[in-house]
Amino acid sequence: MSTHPSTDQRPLDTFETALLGQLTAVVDERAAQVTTSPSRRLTGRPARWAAAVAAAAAGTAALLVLPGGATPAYAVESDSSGSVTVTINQLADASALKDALAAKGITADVTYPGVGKQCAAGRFTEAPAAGGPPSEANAFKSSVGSGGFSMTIPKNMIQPGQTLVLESVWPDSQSWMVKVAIANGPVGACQLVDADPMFMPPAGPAPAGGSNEVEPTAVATAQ
Amino acid sequence: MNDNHPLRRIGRDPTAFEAFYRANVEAVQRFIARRVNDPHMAADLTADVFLAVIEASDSYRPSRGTPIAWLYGVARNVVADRHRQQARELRLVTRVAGRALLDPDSLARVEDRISAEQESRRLYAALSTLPEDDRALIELVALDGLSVADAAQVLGVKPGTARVRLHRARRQITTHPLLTTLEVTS
Repeated sequence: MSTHPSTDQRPLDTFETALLGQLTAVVDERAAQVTTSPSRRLTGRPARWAAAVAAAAAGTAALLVLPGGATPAYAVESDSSGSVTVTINQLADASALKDALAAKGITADVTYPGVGKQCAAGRFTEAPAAGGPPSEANAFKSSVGSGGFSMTIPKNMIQPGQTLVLESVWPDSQSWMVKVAIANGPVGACQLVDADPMFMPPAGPAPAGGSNEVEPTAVATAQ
Repeated sequence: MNDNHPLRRIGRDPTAFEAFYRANVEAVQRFIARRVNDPHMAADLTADVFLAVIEASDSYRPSRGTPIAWLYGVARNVVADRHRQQARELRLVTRVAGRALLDPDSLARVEDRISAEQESRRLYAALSTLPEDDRALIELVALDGLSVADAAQVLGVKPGTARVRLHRARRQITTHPLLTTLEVTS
């Protein structure tokens, strides 16, 4: 292995070239952060990644979505087993999505902070992960497509007193991400804070509009 | 020490990163193809490995292993994380969705790579019965071709301990041709 190109390297294919472009943007962002915030220690970043991954293991998922032209903003469907499938195509109509989930018997908090914002941590207590091996009854099934994501919630997975929390982070014109969690007890209001720089797009002029344009802030909180 | 090692710059120097990427993207994709038979997941994991490399590059120390051992150690952790999350039917947090970048020609290349590594994936599956520490070691040596010394360094164990573990693992899995030809040398 070398940190420099070797002479026998083949040309990159289309996938590798596109991936290089996206990864280089991540490095550019880090470089810019070093330049603009010299006091910020980059060594803190792996810890935040670790925290995100640990959260997923405990029952939280984060789904990255690249923008597409799919509409409407969301869909909620149930099947004969009582499972409910939520599809989110755009970060819009949070209140209506919360109501649609309530109509299926799922108490939800749907929060889409605007560009560059996220909810402050600690507004709810995450339910402990179900014991035993994952099964149809105790695990989300999710899939991410080119324009949105779908998630199937097994019947009775959200227990009385619990709330399904859907919260976006890092919304921008290139991609967005929704954190999924189950809260035990009440879910507090979203206190908007600046998004973790890790989730921010590279600095530059904000594109105007786009098929995935987000609401400035939409909060729908379950009782 | 060694703050100027080129590998430590790749997380914040786009030019250094591109050089590293071009030099290692094929090795990373083959590493993944030895473990994963789904081309879309392989594309996602390729992105995940390089994202992890970007995040971890500041912490690289030559004393902890050669660059190839370090890279494979990072890649192994990424793949293991994905398998654990897959078991829970959850998606890995990621900034770059590799599969979204696949075009038909690139997909065919990934599939070819996966097809070529079928035998390696059989070994990878056979290793699932081993204790985690033994499995990590034998993966890096038998599957990825690291020396015992390199593998031991990246896993933070002494070479002597590594050799003992390899012998023990080989006794437990003796039917696979890749293992029967494995030479335990440092």
